[in-house]
Amino acid sequence: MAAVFLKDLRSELRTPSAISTLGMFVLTTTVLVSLTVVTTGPGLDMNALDGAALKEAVRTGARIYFPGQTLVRAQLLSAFFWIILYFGALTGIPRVFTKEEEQHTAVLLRLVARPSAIFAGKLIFNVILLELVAAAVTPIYLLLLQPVIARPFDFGAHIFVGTASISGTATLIGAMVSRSGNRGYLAVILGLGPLLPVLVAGINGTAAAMQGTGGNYVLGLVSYLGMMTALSALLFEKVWRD
Amino acid sequence: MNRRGLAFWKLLQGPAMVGLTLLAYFWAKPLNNGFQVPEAARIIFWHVPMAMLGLLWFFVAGYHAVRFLFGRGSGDLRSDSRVSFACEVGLACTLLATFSGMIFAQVQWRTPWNWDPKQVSILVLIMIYVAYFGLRMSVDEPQLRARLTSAYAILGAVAAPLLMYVVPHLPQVQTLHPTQVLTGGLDSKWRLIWMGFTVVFLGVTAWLFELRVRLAALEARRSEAGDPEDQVVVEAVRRPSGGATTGAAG
Repeated sequence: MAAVFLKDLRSELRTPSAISTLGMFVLTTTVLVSLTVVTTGPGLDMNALDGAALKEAVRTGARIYFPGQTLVRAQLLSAFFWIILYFGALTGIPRVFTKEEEQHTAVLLRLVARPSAIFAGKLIFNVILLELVAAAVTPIYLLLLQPVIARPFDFGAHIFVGTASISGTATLIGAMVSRSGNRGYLAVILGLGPLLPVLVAGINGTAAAMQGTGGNYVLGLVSYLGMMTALSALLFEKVWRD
Repeated sequence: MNRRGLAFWKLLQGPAMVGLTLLAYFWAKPLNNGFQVPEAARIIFWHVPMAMLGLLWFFVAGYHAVRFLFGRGSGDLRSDSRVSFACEVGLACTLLATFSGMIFAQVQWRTPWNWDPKQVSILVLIMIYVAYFGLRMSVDEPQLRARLTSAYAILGAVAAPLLMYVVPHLPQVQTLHPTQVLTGGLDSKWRLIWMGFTVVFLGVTAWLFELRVRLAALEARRSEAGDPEDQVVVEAVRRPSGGATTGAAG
């Protein structure tokens, strides 16, 4: 397991393929979104509320948490973040497996290591890879899109756990895709069903963390991560062996 | 020839369908509680069973996938065919449920699509089915294809119930579905006809599934026997008066 992980790490350091695919995709999309999508203005920016709505909020005693941002803006920005991460993960992570097939090292790997060890090694590699990408892209995202975040800890926790969940399932899907004829685009389609719960929980969780409202999905994400990783480990052996 | 060929439940389906359709139009009175067009309420008989069966056949596919990967006699390609046939039947059901629902939504809410949780869940279900067939089409080697697609069917079958739970939490999703009509407000006539249709449609889809399995068995037998064109010649030479094989008309 450790050997598989170290092998992937060395290989990636020598010729970066997964991290370059993933990092470039995520960076480009974040910049593109921040350039093209309007994220301020009436309905997005609370400062743009007219007097009556503001008076009503004051009258009812509703706490105006963040004058800079409505719930719509929070959900919009959260959705962007997770969609970018989803597409990045499912184009980048399969590279870890397609690389083995392209360089014809998959056969050798099948001979020397048990499937469970390969799965665990690849999984750890993918989780670390995607966490690194998420850690690198989050500051850029914060800088370019400027979300107001009421509970930074919750925001970070959702991203950390959600990213791990995505890479867990994406590892199995990557193995499937590498064994099928079409490399690449298929992963994005295959991932949607199993990963939609993660995306929904992630989007709602980060939006709630931005607005400071209720809604914490970290525990739900952790249990989904555990369940899907166990299932993936069980199915990986069937997908991997010849 | 085929011992299940004349099972009485198949013979019963024709009269049952005709009877239920007559009952649906002449016995059940149009519903006035909340329907724009009271006549349109009859969608319950058709649309709701289809949506239920779409999910049911998805779990049938998951069951056969588990059998293929982990069950006794795993690696049996017949189990794999059953997974794909169950997915075909399930996809047909979900598509029919979706289109009938869209027609109803146009009448009821003046829009075919309003991001109702049920619409979203069935859309995701269709996406999983489509992904399944996409994966299936991209692999040539039968054993490998069977393993990959079965693993995906299991992954989907585990995720599907969770999707039903999480989809209503999507930000833009609000339900317009008159669920209270089904759970409480349905009178006994409607309930009876609706249940009858559910059973009959279950029978029809099960029959479809069985026909698909038998067809595959026949195809397998034919390809085992060699090239079909040659086979015809061989049989013609051997038995000039031999009749056609039974079962093809099944």
